[in-house]
Amino acid sequence: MVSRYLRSSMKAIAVVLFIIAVPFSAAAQSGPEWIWNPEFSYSKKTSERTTLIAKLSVFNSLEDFTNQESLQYIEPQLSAAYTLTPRWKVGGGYYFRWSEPLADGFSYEHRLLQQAGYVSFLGSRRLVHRLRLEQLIRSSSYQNRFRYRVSFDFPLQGEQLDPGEKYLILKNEMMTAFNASEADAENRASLGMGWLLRGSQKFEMNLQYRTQDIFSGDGLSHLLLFGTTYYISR
Amino acid sequence: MVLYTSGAMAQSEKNEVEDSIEREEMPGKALETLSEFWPNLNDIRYFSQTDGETETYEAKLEWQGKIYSIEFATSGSIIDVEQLVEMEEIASGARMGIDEYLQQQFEKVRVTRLQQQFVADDEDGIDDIDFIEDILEEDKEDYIIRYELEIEGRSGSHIGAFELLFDRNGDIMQRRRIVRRSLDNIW
Repeated sequence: MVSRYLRSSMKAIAVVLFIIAVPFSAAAQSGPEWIWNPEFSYSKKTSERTTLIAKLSVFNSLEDFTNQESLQYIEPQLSAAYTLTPRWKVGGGYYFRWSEPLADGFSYEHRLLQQAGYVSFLGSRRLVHRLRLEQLIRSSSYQNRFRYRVSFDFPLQGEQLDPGEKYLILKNEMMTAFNASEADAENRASLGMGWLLRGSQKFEMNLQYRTQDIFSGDGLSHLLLFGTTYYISR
Repeated sequence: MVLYTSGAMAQSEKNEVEDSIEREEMPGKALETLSEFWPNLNDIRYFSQTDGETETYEAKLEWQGKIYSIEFATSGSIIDVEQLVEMEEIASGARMGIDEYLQQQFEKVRVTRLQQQFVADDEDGIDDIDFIEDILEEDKEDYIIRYELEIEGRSGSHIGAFELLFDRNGDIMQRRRIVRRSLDNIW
């Protein structure tokens, strides 16, 4: 049983590493852009079915950390989730993105989102499918996006995740912008590890590989993102 | 996983912490019992559990197509044995009682896990070897059968996962709420 469990876990990790490695090797000549994305998330269950989430996300380019433009954006996020059934959730939110706040001529983006997710529980292993619609209102443009993400996390020690223990999290997200003028697509594959510090707090690190401009016709661009997130949930 | 007892029954709260452990960390008497029945079974997983007050040990194994979970006290004596089963495999009387309870108490219920639990009768409680022999030989006179269900559903204003314990007649003995980990990192 142990070997079967390890085999299935290793298989999942190998698939994600493959997804990450293929575009990485293709982009090796031009080199991807490196980003550090620290985040802080606070969520509170306000009723049997409703959860409110506040998050702060910061995008730092690691290309030239001394440059003022290396701080690419600061993004406060507010969202809510409603439990429809033990497995289905729906929700929505509003994000505000303040781009290049330290540079002259900063810009902004308002983002509205609607989403639905389906959770499967396999003991303490969780598989989540999420569909999301987004409306991006920028200083100079408007964009509609559709995103689909599949996420899987599981404890690395024992059959359930207890305080002090680690877990692995794998995600892959595909998205497309479907405005005629800005139609494009992107894939985001990530592999991360988290620590459940207490029942209500966890810290997660992940490496995400983004393959961008898939439909642009000008060639793919690539981005490597190192994410660190601290979660508090009440 | 945190389990809360339903308000309709007791108000106790249970918070179990489980750790995967090596074979050598199990009580000696527990290993002797396991070796008596499964001397050549390599895929046995071992765990220690605590609810903050009581510490127990558990061995999980697959034998003849069935998954068993054997819980031991720190002395190495067996507390109970659980066997993963399908609803169709349990006695029809118990199944009827369980179905009736689920229909009365829940809407859109889904059974996610069902275990047949064997607890030694006093007569056999002191002899772990006899107890396991009785289970494997299905000698039902010599042990108590209970059924432990994990379900998802809605009950009144509560929505989510629950753990239910029924006796051999399908009468409810205990109902606890399973509080799952936050989905904030994955949703």
